[in-house]
Amino acid sequence: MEDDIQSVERILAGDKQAYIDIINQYKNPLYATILRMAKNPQTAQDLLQEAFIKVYEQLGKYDQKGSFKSWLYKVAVNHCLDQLRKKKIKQEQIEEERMINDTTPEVVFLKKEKSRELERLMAGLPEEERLILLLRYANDLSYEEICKTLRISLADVRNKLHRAKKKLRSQAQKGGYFNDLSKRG
Amino acid sequence: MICPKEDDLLAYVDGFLNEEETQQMKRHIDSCPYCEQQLEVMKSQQAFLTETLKTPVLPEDFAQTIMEQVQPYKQKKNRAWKWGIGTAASVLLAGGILISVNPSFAEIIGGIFNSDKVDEGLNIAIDTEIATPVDIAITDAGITLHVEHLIADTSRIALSYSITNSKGKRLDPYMEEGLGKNTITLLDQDRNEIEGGSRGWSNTADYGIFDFSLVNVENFKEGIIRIAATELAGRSGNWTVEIPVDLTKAYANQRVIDIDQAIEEAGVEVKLDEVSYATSTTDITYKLAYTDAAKKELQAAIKEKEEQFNEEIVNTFFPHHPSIGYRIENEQGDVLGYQNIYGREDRGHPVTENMIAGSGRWEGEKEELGLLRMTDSFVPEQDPEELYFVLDTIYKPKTSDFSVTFKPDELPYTFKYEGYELTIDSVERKVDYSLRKSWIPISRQVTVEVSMSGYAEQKAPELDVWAIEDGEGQSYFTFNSGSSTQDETDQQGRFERGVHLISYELQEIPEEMTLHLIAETEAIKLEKEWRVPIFEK
Repeated sequence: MEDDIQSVERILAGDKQAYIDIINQYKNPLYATILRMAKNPQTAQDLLQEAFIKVYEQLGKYDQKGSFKSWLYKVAVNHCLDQLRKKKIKQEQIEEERMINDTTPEVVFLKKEKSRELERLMAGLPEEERLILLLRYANDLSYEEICKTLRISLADVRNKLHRAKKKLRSQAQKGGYFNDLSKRG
Repeated sequence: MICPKEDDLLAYVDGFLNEEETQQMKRHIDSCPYCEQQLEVMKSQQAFLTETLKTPVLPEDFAQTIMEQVQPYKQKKNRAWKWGIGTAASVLLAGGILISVNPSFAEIIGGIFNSDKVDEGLNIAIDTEIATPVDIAITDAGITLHVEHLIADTSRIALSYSITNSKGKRLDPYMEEGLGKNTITLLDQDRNEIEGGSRGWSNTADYGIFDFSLVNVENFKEGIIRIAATELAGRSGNWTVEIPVDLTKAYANQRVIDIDQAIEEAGVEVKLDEVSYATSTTDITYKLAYTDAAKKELQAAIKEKEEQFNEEIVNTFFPHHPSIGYRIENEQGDVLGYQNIYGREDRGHPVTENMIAGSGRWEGEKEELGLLRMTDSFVPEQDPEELYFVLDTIYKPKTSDFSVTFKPDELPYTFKYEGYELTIDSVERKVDYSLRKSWIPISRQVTVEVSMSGYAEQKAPELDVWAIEDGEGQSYFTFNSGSSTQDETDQQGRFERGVHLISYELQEIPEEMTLHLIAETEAIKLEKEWRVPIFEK
């Protein structure tokens, strides 16, 4: 957090490189999140680009008292959600191939199956539950940071996170990865 | 044995339990194979979620595409630099100092002195006797501050430095001043801090440069630059360096020509005081003042506006002071430098040529309008010629009675004024939340923002101050933010303009809205130019 505040001061002093560093630090987890909300890679990239521009333009308003990460997430995530709701962006399926990075055929196959199922289950979750899962696991946000980003209570975060995880398991199809997991118990 | 509910196990995995509950849960899991297995499943799910949900990733150049769309925040770590020139140089504090810097200079300054990263004045100076290699290095906490070169001129003192780590790798030279962190001061021989000077700081990836302006400093001949740094490259430590400065050689090379000539045009008196030919700059010093009649007229007009609106709306950003447009040319009329809106026909805004910096000092009291002492610094001519100062434009603020009334839900709305054709594109109410460390975590900020775009002739006045009136006769203080002039032109040769007004007080968009123009700055092109020789006869 200390580092982030220093970066903000440098950006406000005219150092563009400091903002490039901020973008690189947060872009991937945020993209992974927005992609699963927008369900279209191009839309997600465009929204995230807008969000980072908005964060940049509003940097002067960040009061440097709270955590910069929380503030950034609040501005960026809410910008994307607002735009998604406003534009009623057509929900499209994510191109699954884009989700895979490993190279060994076996690993690719196994992971692809599992990933595909996870993506399908994620897509079926209510928006807020999906978002909480993403903020927690793709972005490593603390519960407090999730509260601030989504402006909801800690109890809400906890309940929705649990509900989402339970749904992932109970809705898993027969033979699917999550189904396997739940049977093992 | 009673096993905990699934929810509680999840809470345990996710770290929601308190210390006591966590210990209790641990004891149970240690003695219950079923729950242990449940826990393993949950952890495995969590690991899988983390792994899968972190993909995919964005291309490497994603940040670059964003940075191409934004402007850098002002490079402003100094106290009194003001970026922008001519008519924009209007906000002055009582007894304060104003410095303006050629924007193109601001972008390129920051390299080593013999590179094209600094202004040409420093390029010239680095090969003369006013430049000295300093080569002082101090290391603490594994970080070395290395002061490399010093240029000590009568008009300014510039020094370059670098910051390296223990492996000799050059680090970001950013040196934050203030808050007890790092201080850079110019001291006289008795170790008193020199007041009245202003300084710039800039950098490249490898070098940092401090540039102290001496145009408002009197009688500084010899002293010390003291750098006391306690935080460099993110590390705490103690780096204190003192660099002796001696201007004897610089003064030996300087020639000062007293001009002492004045002219009165359009209610403004322009008095050309002196021209200093120094090694790294040619500095032109002049005074501006309103004539008594013009001053009274402007004061009365401002007072009338204050009664109509209020003091805050009218005075906060009123461009009180005049400024001038002029050029420096040789005997044959070749232009060697200028500061002028008309300097280039393809530009819609004031431009400068060969100008390094301009600085001004308001010499008046609170009630005294327009009494300015300005020094503009140009790149010196390498081959001395007989030069002339040619005054061609007076920029003068005045109040305006123009207003435009429209209905925000019937946009766009186009209007014309003094060479402008502007379209009100949108009126938006924006709600922004900011986080505060208090019992109420989020504060709500409502703004109403008016966006206009269109075209204006080159000579059209600057539209400086606006007020927004709602449908019920209440006017609001308005920030004129983001008003811009582009070099793009339409078919009629008019320049692209944008105006963006923000009110933090107006909370709702009224059915009918009136925009009042409060102040504008006219560009008065002189019918008869004033040409003054600025060389020794």
